[in-house]
Order: sequence, then C-alpha cells, then structure tokens
Amino acid sequence: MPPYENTKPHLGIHGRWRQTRTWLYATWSLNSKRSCLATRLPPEILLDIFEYLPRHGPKYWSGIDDPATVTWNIALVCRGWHGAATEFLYHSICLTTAKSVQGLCRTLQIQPSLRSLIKVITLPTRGPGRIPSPIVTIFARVINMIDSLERVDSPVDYLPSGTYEGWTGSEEVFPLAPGKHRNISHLAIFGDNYHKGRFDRQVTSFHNLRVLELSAIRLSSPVDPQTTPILNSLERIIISYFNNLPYLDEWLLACPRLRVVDLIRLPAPNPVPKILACGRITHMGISECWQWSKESTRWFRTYTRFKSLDISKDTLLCHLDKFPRPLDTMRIRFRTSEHLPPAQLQQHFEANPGLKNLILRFDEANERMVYLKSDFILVCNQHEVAISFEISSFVERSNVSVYYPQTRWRELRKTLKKPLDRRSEIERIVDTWDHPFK
Amino acid sequence: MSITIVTSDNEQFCVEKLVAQRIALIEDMVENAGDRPIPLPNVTASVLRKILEYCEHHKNDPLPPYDDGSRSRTTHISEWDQKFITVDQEMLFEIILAANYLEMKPLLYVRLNVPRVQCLTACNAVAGDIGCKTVANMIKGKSPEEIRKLFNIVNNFTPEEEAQIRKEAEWAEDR
Repeated sequence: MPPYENTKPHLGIHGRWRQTRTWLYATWSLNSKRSCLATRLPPEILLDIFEYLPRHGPKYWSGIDDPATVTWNIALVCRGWHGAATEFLYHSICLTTAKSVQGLCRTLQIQPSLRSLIKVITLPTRGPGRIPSPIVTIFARVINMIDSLERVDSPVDYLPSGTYEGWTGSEEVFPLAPGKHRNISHLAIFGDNYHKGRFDRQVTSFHNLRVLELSAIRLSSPVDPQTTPILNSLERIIISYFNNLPYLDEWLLACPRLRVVDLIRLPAPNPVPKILACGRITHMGISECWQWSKESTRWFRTYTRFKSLDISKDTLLCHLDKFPRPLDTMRIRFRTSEHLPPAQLQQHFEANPGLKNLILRFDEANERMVYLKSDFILVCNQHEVAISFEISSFVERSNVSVYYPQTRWRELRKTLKKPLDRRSEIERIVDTWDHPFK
Repeated sequence: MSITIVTSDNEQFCVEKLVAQRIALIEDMVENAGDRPIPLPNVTASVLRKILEYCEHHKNDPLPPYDDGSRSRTTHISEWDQKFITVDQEMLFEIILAANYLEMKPLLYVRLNVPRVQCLTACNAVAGDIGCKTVANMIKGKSPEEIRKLFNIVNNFTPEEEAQIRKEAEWAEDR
C-alpha cells in the first residue's frame, strides 16, 4: 500500500470539487494527447478565462455606442467552447441601443432556453435626451421574460399605462414588474436629479434585495417605515448625486441587516442621520464629496463606529481626520491621473496608527501608481499594515452605476471618441430612434 | 523544514514547507501525510517546477482582498509574471490545469482567516489566474478564425449551426 493512501482529503463541497477536478484533469490528460489542448479545457476553466474578457459597462442613452466588442466571437470558435461562451455572454447583458434591445427581445422569443442564463441586465442611464418611451416598453418586455435576474441597473422613466397591472403611467418608474423577480438581490436605479418621484412602493416589492443603489433619484417625501415594507435582507445602500438620506433615514433604520452605506458626490449629511449614528454601520464608502466642510461633519468621529472605509483620494486628503480611528480596513480609489506619493502615506500612518489593511485601487493605465507599488509595500511593511492592490482594467464593469448629468455631455462625447463633425449624423440616428416602430 | 513531493513522472522535489503550503491541495495532504512524500499523480515534473518557481517568487507578496463581488477582474500582469508565463502553448495550458487541480486560487481566500503576520507573506496571485489572464489577452479582439488558428482548433460547427449562432448573437453585433 502506498504510504499516502490514507491521506484522503476530507469531503464536503471542496472535497467533491477536488474529486471532480481530478477526474477532469485525468480525462483532459488522456484526451490532450490526441487533440488540441484548448478544446479540452473544462468549462469551469473556460469560464475563468472568459471572465477576463471585456464587457460593456453601464452607459447612458445617447443614441450612439462604442464599436461592438468582439467578445461574442468566442461562441463561434468550436463546439467545445460554445456552451461556456454562451453561459458567459448571456450572464451579464448590457443594452444601450434600440437595435440591441429589439434584437435581444426577438432572440429570447425564438430561444427561450437562453432566458435562464441571464443574471445581470444593465440598461442605459438617461443621456442628454429621454429614452424614447417605446424603447422603455421593450426594456420592460425583455425583463419580464427573464425570471433568473439577480441584478438590474435601470433608469427610471415613464412607462405607458397598462404595461403592468395597476400601472397608470402617471409617474416615473423603472421597468420591472413589482415583486415578479424574486431572485433580484442588487437593484440600481438612476434618475435625472430633477424629477421627483415615489419609488419606495416599487423598490420594496423586491423582498430579497441585498444591495440598493439610488443614483440621482429625487424622492418626493419621507419613506415611512410604518407604511412601507421593510427590506429584511438589505445589507448595503449606495446613494449618489442626490441626498436622500433624510428621506430614507427612518426606513433604513428599520432594515435589520443594513451594515454598509456608500455616499457618492453628496453634501455632508446634516443633521446626523440616525442610521449612521446607530452604531450598526460597519463599513462606509465616501467618494468625491469635496464640498464637505469641517463644521458640517464634526459629528462623524463622535457618532459613527465603522471600522472599514472606502474612499476616493480627495477624501483621504481632505476628510480623513473626521472619521473614527483606528480603522481595520481602508480602500483608496484613484483615477487614472491621480497618484499618492509614498511619503504622504508614511505621514498618514504616523499620524493615524492602527490601520490593519490597506487596499489601493487604480486602473492599469495609471502608470505612476503601478510604478510605485514596491514603495507602497515597503512603507506598509514598516508600519505592519497588510497592503493589497486592485488594478482594474479600463474597460471593466463598474460596481457603482454611472450617472452622467447633461453638463457632462461634451466630456462623454470625448470619451466616446466620436468626431464632432458626426454630430448631425448622430442626431439623425437619435431622431429615427424616437419612432422605432413607424 | 522541507517536504518531498513526487510527480507523475516519478521525480522527487524537496520543497520548503512554507512554499509548498501555498498550494492548498498539498497543505491538506501534509497534515495527514506526516513525513511521507506527497504524491501528485496528475502533475508532471516540468509543470510542478514552474509552479514552485511561481510560489517561491511570490511568497512574500501581500494578500489580495477577499473577493466579495466588488472586486473586478483585470488583465494586468506584472513584469515578472509576464516573463514567467512566456511559455509555449502546451505548457501554458498545463499550468492552468495544474493550478486548478492544485487549488491554488481558493488558497488565497482561505488564508484570510489566518493571523495578519502570515497574511503578509501569502502569495498575491496564483499561477492559474496568470494563465487565464494570458489566454484571455491572447483571444481578446480576435475573430473566431484567428482564435482557431492561434490554438490550432478545428471548426467543428456545421455551416447551419454557425449561421444559427450568428443569428442568435445578431442583437449584440448591432450595438
């Protein structure tokens, strides 16, 4: 008997995976002698590879789009890749044009088996103009076909009355039938920062929500926990561009599992929101809140008790003295043009000892930060801080939805690299999309 | 302290225990095997040599954060990793499969539960990840025909099947 025959790994989920892997590996090894290695990769590895391919991120409705990515080509390589490729490609879908939404609608009608593969759907945010109403109706039709949805990023807009039962068409909504999609755990809705609405009734119909993101949403009245259903699974709320905290405060306090609050481009919360002062919030995200004054946030250190903080560089430089100490974990996000001199980090550690974990997140085009990695490691080792890096790809899908106010139209146009002389052509296209069924 | 690993082609490797324990499968087996050699019947000597080279180089790297879903994937590969993974295609796929078999990816996340001092010395990435990123970078932006040519893959779709798939994906191509 070989000496190691008794060293069987313990079973359980990992053990079973191990056995499967051994079998796959053995099968692969035998077959690889006869055929091309790439076609013999098991689906789990193919999916791992595909996960590194770019996906379309959230966009706003502009009537134009980047050139199609060729990611869909992976489904056409060979039969061995087709299954995993289809699973990957349909997992997260991003719709930005009239043609794509109409085409997907047709495909899902012809091939119902594809519907269950879709877990994440991202609709465009509003751009300089409204999304044409017929298109929003097709969004609703597509979403209605998919029962397996886990995450939806959607604009709020007007839907024609009768789209769903009880829908009057008199107010802005997002195109999801209330309560229909029971698996949705992440809902991001974005408005235009201008129109007021009541979204609480619709939002709270999704009982299994764990993450709720409100971007440029202007609530019209406080959400009353006595009359509005409580989301018992809600763990994280992300609020950006319009400060809804005063309206949501009492209701959030009643959500028993809420532990994470992210504030993006908001004025300083004042008076002290009860949800931040209750001691239950363990993680906060604060990004691009430049206008916070010392006076308006003096309460932070007294009232809040979070141990984990996610910030942008401006927060590090301007507001860090306001937050409770010591922190267990701090993640700092950098834009491509930003960097942090290691000496500044050193000073920070000396002034604020006790941090346990530091995470620096930047994109791979940020060459300065990439270059400084070893210096950061050195500084962190000196202060016994565990450091790690999240180097994101430029084309990555953001975790937080993007909202583009109208004033950023020109900026976005540059991003899309469309020559300005094509503006009239683009506008013509947008015009025709206003009447897609004529 | 070191342990002995025996590969499928019967080559023995004497490896520093701290380095070997970066590989989850081996770490589990060490606990039960005592001083006996650890067999890896599915990994050849040439592949294990590469994987150990990777573990040795990264043993002092910091630990990546736990993947709570907010961490997005990146195709960024460091300079050393790039050189490490510059191998022929057969070796590239062997490394990917072996890293998967050796459970090198979960190792990172299991490590989060150990004391901070140990975290500081854990690997920051795994060979499997680097391999997958490399393959992804190779196929990014290529047509099906180019991918087939690159990996010597035979197109086993019938023309009808291919047309059907193209039709299904038409909505995405029109974006």
